[in-house]
Amino acid sequence: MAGMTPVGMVAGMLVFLGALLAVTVDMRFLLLTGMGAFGPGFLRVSGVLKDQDEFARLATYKAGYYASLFAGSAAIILISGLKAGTVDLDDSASQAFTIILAIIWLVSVFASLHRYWGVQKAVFRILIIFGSLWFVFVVLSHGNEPLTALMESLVVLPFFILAWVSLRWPRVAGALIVTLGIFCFFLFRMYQFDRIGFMSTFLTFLLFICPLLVAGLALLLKKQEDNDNNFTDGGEDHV
Amino acid sequence: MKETENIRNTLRRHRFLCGELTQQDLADKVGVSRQTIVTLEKGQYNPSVALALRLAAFFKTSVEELFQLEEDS
Repeated sequence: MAGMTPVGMVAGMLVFLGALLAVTVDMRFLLLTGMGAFGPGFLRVSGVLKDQDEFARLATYKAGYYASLFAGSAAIILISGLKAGTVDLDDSASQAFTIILAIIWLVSVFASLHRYWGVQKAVFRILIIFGSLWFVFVVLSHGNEPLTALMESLVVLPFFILAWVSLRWPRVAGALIVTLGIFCFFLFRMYQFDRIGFMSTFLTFLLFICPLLVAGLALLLKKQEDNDNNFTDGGEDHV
Repeated sequence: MKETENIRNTLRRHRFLCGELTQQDLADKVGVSRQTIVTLEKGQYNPSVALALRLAAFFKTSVEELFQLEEDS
């Protein structure tokens, strides 16, 4: 489920392709993203797709429960804010849905990775995913300017380095990741809500700063017995 | 109310007694992923009755021999 299974790869490609086509061609391509994000789940609950064992299913169900708790809470806060006039969204319906969807996606990905792989492996994967997504974003943004793309893609190096460090020295990596998250918070001036608008500020915080802080804190607060020495997936470890 | 019971298991010992069977081999034999065996052995996941029975049948032992409730300290 959380690994690169064929189903996960197809779903991931649909999500990526849908988002790309939605931004560049037509917003209706967002339906592809929806198919990638929720399609496997529908196929699993209907019994068509049987790619998960009981532990993976439990991780998925728990992640869904956490996602509903967080998304439900966010929805209540958002509705009360909109009704009271303390939150102002330009295009309130689509922006509100975007916020809720982002929370559902983020919490469920984090929770399922954490439940399935444990803290250390989950953080490793989160950093690799983030680094890769940023790299793809940079390449797509500066496809016709190779030198600029190369320079900007250097920004992804800390993610891959931290991913490597997190497997060997989790506490050190945790402290560095939290520091990086706080640094980015001030770098992007997250405290100035009216600078780039509530929506952009919130999504930047949710999809960039928040994962770093959560990943870093998870490593720092990790119990010693959570240490997992089986980083090779080859199954060669013996008693 | 406790969310889950603390259950200790002897999976590692049984794998060893089975000729140093790898986690992947055991996972393949009982139809789960290797990660499931990893979390079972670490006591981070309590298996379903069906999986406990499959593991016991594979090792030709009883479920009670493989899994025991830990006494509350």
